[in-house]
Amino acid sequence: MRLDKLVFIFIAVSLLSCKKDKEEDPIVSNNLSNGMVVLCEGLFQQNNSSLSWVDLSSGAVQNSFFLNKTGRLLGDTGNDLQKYGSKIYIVVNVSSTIEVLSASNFESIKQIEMTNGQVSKQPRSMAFANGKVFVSCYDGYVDVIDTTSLTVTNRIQVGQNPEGVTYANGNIYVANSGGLNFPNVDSTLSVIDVNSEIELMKITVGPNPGAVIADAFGDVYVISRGNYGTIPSRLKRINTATNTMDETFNFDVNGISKMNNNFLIHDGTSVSIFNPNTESIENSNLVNTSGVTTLYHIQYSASRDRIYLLDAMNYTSLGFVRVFNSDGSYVSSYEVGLNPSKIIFYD
Amino acid sequence: MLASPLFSISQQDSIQEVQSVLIQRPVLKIKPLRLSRSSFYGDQIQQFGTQDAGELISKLAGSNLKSYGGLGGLKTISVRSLGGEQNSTIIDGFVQSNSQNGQINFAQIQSDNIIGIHLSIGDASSYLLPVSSQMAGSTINIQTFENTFGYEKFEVRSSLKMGSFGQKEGYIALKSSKKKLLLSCFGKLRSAIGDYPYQFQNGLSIIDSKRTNNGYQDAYFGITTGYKFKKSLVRLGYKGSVIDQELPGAAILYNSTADELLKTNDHSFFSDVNFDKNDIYYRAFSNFSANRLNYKDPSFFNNIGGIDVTYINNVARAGLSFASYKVKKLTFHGGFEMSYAQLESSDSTFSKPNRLLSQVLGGLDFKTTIGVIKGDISFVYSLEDTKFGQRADDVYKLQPFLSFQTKNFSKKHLNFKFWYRNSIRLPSFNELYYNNIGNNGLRPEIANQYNVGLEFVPIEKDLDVFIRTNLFYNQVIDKIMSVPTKNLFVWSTQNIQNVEIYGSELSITSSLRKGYFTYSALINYSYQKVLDNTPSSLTYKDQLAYSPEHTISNEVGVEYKKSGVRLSHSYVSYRYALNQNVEQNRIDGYHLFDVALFYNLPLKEKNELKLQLNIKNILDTPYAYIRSFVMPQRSFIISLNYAFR
Repeated sequence: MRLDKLVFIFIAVSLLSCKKDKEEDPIVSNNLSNGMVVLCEGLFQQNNSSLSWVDLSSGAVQNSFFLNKTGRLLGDTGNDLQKYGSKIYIVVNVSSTIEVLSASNFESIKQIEMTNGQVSKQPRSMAFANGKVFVSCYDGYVDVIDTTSLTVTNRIQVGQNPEGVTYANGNIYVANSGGLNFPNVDSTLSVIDVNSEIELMKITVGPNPGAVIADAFGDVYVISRGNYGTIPSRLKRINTATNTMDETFNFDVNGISKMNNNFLIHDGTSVSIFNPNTESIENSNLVNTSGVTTLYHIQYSASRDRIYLLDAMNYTSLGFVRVFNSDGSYVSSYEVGLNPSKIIFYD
Repeated sequence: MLASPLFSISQQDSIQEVQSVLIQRPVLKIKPLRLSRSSFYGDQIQQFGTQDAGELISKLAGSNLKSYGGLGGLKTISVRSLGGEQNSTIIDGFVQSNSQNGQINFAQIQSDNIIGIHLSIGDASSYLLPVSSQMAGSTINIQTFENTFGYEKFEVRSSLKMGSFGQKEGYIALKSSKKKLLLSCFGKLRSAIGDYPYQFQNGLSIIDSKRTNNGYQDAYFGITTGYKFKKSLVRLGYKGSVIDQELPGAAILYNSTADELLKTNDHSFFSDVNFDKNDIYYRAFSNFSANRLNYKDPSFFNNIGGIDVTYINNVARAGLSFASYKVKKLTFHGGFEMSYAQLESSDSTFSKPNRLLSQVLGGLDFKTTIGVIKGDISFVYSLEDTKFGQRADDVYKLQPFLSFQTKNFSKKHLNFKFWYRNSIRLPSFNELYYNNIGNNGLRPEIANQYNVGLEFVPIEKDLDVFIRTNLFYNQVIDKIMSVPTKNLFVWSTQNIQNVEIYGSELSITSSLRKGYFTYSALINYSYQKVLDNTPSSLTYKDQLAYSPEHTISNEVGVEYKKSGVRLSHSYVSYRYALNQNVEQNRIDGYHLFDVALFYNLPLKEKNELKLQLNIKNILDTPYAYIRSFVMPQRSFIISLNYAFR
């Protein structure tokens, strides 16, 4: 009898368990003012790309913002988020879609499928000019989308695995990374005439070009990312009048963003201001990034005069938007979705 | 003979364990439970109607299946959340291994020919198995019809199956082993169109879609011969497979394109000799396996128009195991094993590694008046080399094991058992050398397992009931994981975490035979906390990804004369797709119900013809083991099984 009791006590201990209730997404006001929409890329094959709405007055964060607005999920690996005219455009790379939404209320206008027959085009990033969206696609093309009909009107062949794209001086500049041929990467920048939608030339800029950005003085800057090891990442300047690469800057750079007429740049650990007019770094350690785990992207809001560092943590945990004043002093942090990469601000 | 007494620990039992590697067990009315071990046998396995060994193993207490696709897709098993690489898989006494990725794909091990399957945790299921399996954290031991000596002069085992999604299968095995000579051969063909519909929760709505690029065409074949001498037994055989499959990949929202292909060719030669002299039993074995894997991704956007890469993984292995029963109350056992593995690849950036692995084990069982004390110590030495590129460090490590199991405490056959095992798993070639992902600075992953368990028989008359329960605590040090390091697209393998696992298992089996009725039931319940135990980690004390706290596997079967029905239920509780325990990563749990109906058609003596219908996921539940890798919903398989004994 004693043994029987002992046995059943043993089993009861074995079966001790706990139940965890589901956590609910906090309900916050959907009034699109005084806040920011953050694109969180998610992780490959997880279908968990998302938008976070951060209410800057209350500090509340709604991490299912896209779902709550559209009733559906964003998809897999959102790579770019931009506003053009009255619309918001989101590039979703692995789902191979472009989501078009109303900029005023984020209601869905259209989802553009980016497939070529049975093959995904894998769109990557966007630039806008002349009422058109120029979308770099990993299959080696730039797709042209008419912003009125929201249909693909042309495909322009460029280099291998194009990524960053920007508009300057009547042309679209596309960084051909060749990332899928690593370590035998591409090293060119395609120049596309906006009107004729024809590739004019390729400029050799250095291995594995990624981000491309135009300054206020007619030049284009591209980051050649090297091989993540022995070949360092470098910032290159392109003269858009001659379409030649005029200068290489000998400092490490991982990311770049506009800050009024200057650029904010970072090398993964430190944030600096680069003045394209003087072509020099003006403040090499603007922000104390000791509280940032993985500096993934960087952005500046002119209307708020604040710097936003997007912290990807360990890439598999929820990310943070870290907010700093333009003098580099820390303001606040917001926990958002997985791998935050782009912000649109609402004043 | 084996069932009485059920749980006694005798020299006879030990010898039968030794022989179980080689000789088909007689079919028992009651299947004994063993502490640290779960088993299925014969007809029970056939009634499950499993598509492969992975589905079968997932029904054993303590196992957790990870399936990346319903038909032909990758299936791996982790035991008590230690990871598949801590497990050793044995088929007919020979180690199955894949040094390229370190894991066995159980979707490529057929289940038609399995006559016995055992999951042993902590304890070796036989001292004549290769010592590498005795040293492992757990062992899956599979016995097949073709490679075990039977009791009949001539036997046939065959089946024809047709099922949903264009599934077709044909299997036949012939065996002659009544006298001294064993001769057997088998062949199996199977194919499927594979495209299956699924439902996917997309926000507020459920979408209906179809999983495409999911077909396969497989062929399995083999031949074995053996001979029983007066005091020894020899086996020699070959088996192979050719598997040609499409890979559907993950179900990606808004994007149904998929065109990846995988071709796998396996050839395996094996031989062993078993003999005894002066109450010492020996087994010497050798086997060689050649695995060729070709992967194609025609829409990968590189400058050569896609990926077409081939890997050739060759492994040669030999060893000797022994168990001595010469001294009363003492059993000495041990052995050694050496293996040489190499990997060639058409990928010029792969280091083309090779590994010479030596393992030695020595152990002692001491029988006292109240139970048996078992202990062993093993040593592993791994020598690494590469054709180019930096090689990983050599590894050498001692691994202890200690256990104590009581004799029957009461008439209810109450037994307690305590054990501790230390085991390591070496990084695979992929983890060490694969392009940018590989990390040749990896250390081996170490596991410490502690277990206390009991079993007893509360009822033993017409109705037999057996109960077994275990409490366990595991530590994993230097767990090997792939994580993003430089950006989302640049991943690398790291010794990233220490893991703490604790939990419990409960198994209850019962059977009742009354008149023409036979009733049987099985309940397996497992509770596990699998926690990140690295204080500096962002997910410290969070439950690790794909580690459900609760898993249940239930079976109920009723047979009346020549017909029967079996209902299977499995439950996997909620779990997380990533290590961070937040709502975004949560995957809901699911219940699955399968039904099997069978009827034995009347035939002349020695002939058996069984018609069986298996309906899987009868409630049409949408589910996925791994996020985005959706599984089939309701499906059926009808099979005609013929056997001659």
